[in-house]
Amino acid sequence: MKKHLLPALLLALAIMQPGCASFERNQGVANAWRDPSVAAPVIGQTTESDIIQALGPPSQVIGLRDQTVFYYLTERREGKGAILLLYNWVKEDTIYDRAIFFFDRNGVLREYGFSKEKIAPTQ
Amino acid sequence: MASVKRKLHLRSSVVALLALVSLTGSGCTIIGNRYGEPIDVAHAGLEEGVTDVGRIVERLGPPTHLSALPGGMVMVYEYVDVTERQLGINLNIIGLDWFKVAFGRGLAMREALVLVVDDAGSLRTKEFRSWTEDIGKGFGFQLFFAALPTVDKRHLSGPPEQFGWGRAALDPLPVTLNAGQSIDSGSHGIEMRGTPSSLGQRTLEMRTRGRRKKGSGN
Repeated sequence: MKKHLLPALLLALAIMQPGCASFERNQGVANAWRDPSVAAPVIGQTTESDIIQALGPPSQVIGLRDQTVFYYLTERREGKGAILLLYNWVKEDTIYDRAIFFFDRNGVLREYGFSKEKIAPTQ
Repeated sequence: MASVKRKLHLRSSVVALLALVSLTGSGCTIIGNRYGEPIDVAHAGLEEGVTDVGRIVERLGPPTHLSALPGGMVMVYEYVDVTERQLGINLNIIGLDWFKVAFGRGLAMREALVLVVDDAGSLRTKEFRSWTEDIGKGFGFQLFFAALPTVDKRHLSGPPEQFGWGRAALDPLPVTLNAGQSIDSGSHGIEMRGTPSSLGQRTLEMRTRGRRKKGSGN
């Protein structure tokens, strides 16, 4: 029994001093487009005004030649890590939840799309 | 008899190795930063002259960057996965019990999809690339229980330009004066993550390292 004590003690010393961390940060607009209570946009019918009323001010407005683009972005950074003696790791994932709406000259919706990456609604 | 000797020798070697590692080694550290998700271009069914912008955003979602171009617009999808691997050596052998030196190397797995759409909304050009980029090496003197980066990867970790849009009026004067040509406005082209600031419109902004740190991260 005694002969295993020293290796076991050294092994414990090597790996049994853990510290771990976890963090999370959100940035950007509230991703109300993921909220089931918000009406789905309808191409050819929904207007710029409808979108702004439903989702709030966009993260970015881009002017194309004969179109206006509303770009909504929510970013979440999720990180976790473990500090051991022999092996430390820290991993941070940045998730982008995006929505984009293209409007014609009259402010009527032409196209829209949501990102595959999703974040649970923040509101 | 020989087998017993071998076992004893093996055990002493393991004990010696564990003792050495416990006393001198801080082991390895892996630091990862991932931005977005891999681009699912294989299932997007993109065809030049056929696919329209509605189908693109339906299948791939909104692009990372978007800008107007003469005769249309450009959309870029990006994915970046940065990994820094470090080897640490504890300095308690020279009496610095709480410190280590860390040697790190950073690699970035990147994907980019560029799509140019004409004024009619039809896909004009597409190109997808996937590559691994060596982002450098580093050396650091750190507390032995810390896991801090030694490789500078800020050029890949800047916030999206969408977050800087409403803050543009507070930028340094050369940046504000050249806002009309800014690459971040969505009207004058795009650039990928990690592009040096000594290029194109950015040169007008005269960004220093300190300003870049506080600014958009470009």
